[in-house]
Amino acid sequence: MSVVVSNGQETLRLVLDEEQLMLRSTARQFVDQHAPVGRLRTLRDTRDERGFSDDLWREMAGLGWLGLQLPEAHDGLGLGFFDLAVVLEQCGRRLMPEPLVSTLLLGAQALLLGGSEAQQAAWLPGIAGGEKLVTLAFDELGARGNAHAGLATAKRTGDTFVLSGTKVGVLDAHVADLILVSAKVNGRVAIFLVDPTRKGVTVTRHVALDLRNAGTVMLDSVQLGADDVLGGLDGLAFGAAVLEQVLDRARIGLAAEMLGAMEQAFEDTIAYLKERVQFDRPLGSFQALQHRAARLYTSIALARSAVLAAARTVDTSRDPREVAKFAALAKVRASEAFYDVAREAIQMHGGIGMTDEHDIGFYLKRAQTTLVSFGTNDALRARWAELNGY
Amino acid sequence: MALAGAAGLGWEGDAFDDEDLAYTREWLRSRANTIEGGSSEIQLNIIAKQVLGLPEGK
Repeated sequence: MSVVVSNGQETLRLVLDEEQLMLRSTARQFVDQHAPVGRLRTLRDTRDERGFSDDLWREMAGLGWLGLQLPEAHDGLGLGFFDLAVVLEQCGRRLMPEPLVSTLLLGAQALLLGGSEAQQAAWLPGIAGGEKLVTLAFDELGARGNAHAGLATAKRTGDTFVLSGTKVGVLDAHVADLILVSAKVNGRVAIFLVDPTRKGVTVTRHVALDLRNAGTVMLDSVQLGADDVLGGLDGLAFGAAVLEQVLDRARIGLAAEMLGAMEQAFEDTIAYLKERVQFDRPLGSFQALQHRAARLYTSIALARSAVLAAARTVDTSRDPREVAKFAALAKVRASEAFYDVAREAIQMHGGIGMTDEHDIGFYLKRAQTTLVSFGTNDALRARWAELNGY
Repeated sequence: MALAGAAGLGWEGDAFDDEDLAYTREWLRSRANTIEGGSSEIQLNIIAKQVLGLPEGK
């Protein structure tokens, strides 16, 4: 079976090849076996200091997942973003709280797209090996995910910079070995490599609705040099462009996670509809519920196409605007489908769906969070329209 | 239709250009798409039973 979608210039293959099918099945098996959703409850109730499993992270490094898309020269496997999306989808099935989005989507992509050779050599092997966690601090209060609306500034004097500002919703900030920070230098966005133990940096952890780990990063006159600018001093010219591209990749990767999450929530719900008996018949035999389930099935199928096309485009297109279009499409489609699926999943589970003892509620909490992550869907629709010349 | 506003309400006359008039007809035609070849409800039944494996009603 061959499924293709046209992006106007070329056809994108949406089918997985043999190796990707194998990767998917290995990933699914690993996640099912080692990462039940219920551990979110334990991590929350025990107020776990890290908020995820370091052991699991090391095992994922051992499987090659953390370096999947990184160049072989930096201890990676040199595969594509599409391959990474295949793994992220499976991790999303069980809402894994490990620092995948921060380290692999934000940190690694920023270093790949904008880092100097020395910066890549310093950080990418550690990411691939599971020893280093890297995140990106771009959002600020009131900026609503708009990377250019931030107020953080880096005052430049010669080759030195003094960075000040407050960044919010910084994923995995409490465990990061490196925080990439966006800040304006003479009105233009640049990205800085900030060691969180440096003087003037304060990280406060918070717990979000969906139990993903994040924090606030306060920067009070942090002293930085030319080597701390992503891409060196040349990076001052392309920081804004890199930031946009990183966020687009993060949107696509997050959409891949959402795809897995909605598929799992849907599967669990269908199983429940078959098993739960009311009025002497299984719930799933009621046509009112059958039609609702069938509608969800079609919206998951549409989301799947959008996500796969977007992930493929990262690997096949040299035009960042093309990737940006697909990123907006995938993020909006996936988050809205996920939200519908999660809401209906609770409704169809009935009273038990409202309890904390049942896992299905975790999916709704994650879905609500994804709606507003990496830009609101309204802003992304506007971006889609603008990029398409509407 | 929604974007066209009042221009999307034409049936005939000089107040509407060909494109405006085509919208209206296509909109009316599209109602049939959810009925012909097996109504949307029948398609939803097929997905529910054949794809999702939900049980028959009583």
